[in-house]
Amino acid sequence: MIKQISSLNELGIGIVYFRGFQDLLEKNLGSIQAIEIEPQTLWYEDGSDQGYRIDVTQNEILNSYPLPKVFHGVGSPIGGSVLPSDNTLATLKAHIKALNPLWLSEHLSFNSFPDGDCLTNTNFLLPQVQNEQGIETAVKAIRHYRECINLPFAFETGVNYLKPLKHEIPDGRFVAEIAEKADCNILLDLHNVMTNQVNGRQTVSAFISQLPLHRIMEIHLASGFFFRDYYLDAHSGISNDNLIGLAEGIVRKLPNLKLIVFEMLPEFLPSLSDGDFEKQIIAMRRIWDMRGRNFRVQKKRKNTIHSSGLGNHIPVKDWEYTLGKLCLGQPLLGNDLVRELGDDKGIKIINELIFHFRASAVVSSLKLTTRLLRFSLGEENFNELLKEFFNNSKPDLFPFRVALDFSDFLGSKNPDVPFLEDLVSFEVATIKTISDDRVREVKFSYNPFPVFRSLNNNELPEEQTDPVKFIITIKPDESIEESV
Amino acid sequence: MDELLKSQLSTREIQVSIPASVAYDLKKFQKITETVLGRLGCPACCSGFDIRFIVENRFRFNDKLELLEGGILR
Repeated sequence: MIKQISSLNELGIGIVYFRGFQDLLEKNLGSIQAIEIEPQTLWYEDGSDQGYRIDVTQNEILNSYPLPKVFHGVGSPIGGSVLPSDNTLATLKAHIKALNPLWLSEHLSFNSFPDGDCLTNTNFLLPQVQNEQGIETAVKAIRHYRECINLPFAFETGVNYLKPLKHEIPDGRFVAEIAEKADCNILLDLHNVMTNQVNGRQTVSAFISQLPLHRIMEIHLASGFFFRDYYLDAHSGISNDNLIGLAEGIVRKLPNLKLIVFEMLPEFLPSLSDGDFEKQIIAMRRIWDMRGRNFRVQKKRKNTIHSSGLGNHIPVKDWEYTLGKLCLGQPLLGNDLVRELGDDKGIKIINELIFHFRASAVVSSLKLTTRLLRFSLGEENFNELLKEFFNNSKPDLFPFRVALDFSDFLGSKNPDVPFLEDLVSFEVATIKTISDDRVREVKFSYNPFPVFRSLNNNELPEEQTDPVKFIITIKPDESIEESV
Repeated sequence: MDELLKSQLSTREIQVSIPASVAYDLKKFQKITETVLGRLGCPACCSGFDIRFIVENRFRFNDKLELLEGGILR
């Protein structure tokens, strides 16, 4: 039996956990009351098409913290027609068993769409169509999660960089309809709502006024920055005073708030001082203490959604296919929806953001290879090579496939770059060994260690004239005590 | 180079054995400090910028990781 929102414990304030947050967490264990975990960030592929592996070392670290945990999914959102795969659900269940989270949340967005005989991942959370079919699609996905996962469930209010479409259901109303029809809890991401307001969508106050406030069980706070006149939900540091002020006003109206979570990406940790984090925690504690103070029972709303105009008749699958293709920069035949969305400057912003997600996956998973390419070919040629790869490959949610695809692409291009061929083989072999625990040997026709050292120092490796052969045997991590 | 030494080098084969995570993380060649599986996990919840590509390219962020180009503000 899944617990009702009113019977869940009030937790307090928490932060989202990532690898590399151990120091921050250990310093602040007394200041926070919960840890939010994005489970898929701790999964990796096993290379067998059979599913995913969970980073058990991270499970041990997380289980050592004496704090309640909650899960926040980042791989299978509930706004689209594509439901989570059996492999995804099986891994999620195993992860839940290992870490025992109190509830699970996911995003009201979509990130993959049917494309011919297969699915295409967008590498980015995209907004769903805000019409009645969009509501039914989300309700179906929420029910599917609840049938498969025996935990309280909430969906997160999303970011939308598109301008409001003609005749679409307003943002707050759309969220409210889904929550009521699915009888579901809401994770109110206030930074997302503020981002939408700054970029010209519904105001925060109008959005909040349309929500069933008793369903809000969790709040996310974050930060962002401007990029080409758009404000981005970038999770780049502590929350600004505007957001803190909004939160202080809104939590007073929430009778069932259980948790306030601060979201920040690990890449921005170096820019955060202890004082910054303390300031964020103090603000969150102040906000938490104001919860429910001004709660008034809301009047039951009458359904006032009317079906008229373009927005209310766009089939979900047409929306997902069109928006997905446009955001990936892939060609489409012209129709009214393609023209309307194509004129939206938000599409170009999403194009750029997706490029950076995909490029980040390549340079992070094949660090040596991509450094060598960049230093050898030059920045511009390297970026052109990446674009050519993206135009000829499909995005993937997990960097494992991206790395393998990029190595295949390089094999077909065969660029004239010294050291490259063996270096690619080495990095790919390493990724595969991480994934399947099999021992691999990689042969080098040069001494790889000066090459590693140069690339590590962001320098082009020096030419090697003396012939030498090296073989590096890559072993799975379990044998780490036998290292080097 | 001496021809004899040259011929010895061309037939020399050096074998090194290392765990995958060490091989995959350059820092671990010098000091085993951090896990690498993060690079292979699903990206985090964020509708903003994945800055790892830019950080890798180094020159567009200042030392506080504030983006300097393109009208970026904090």
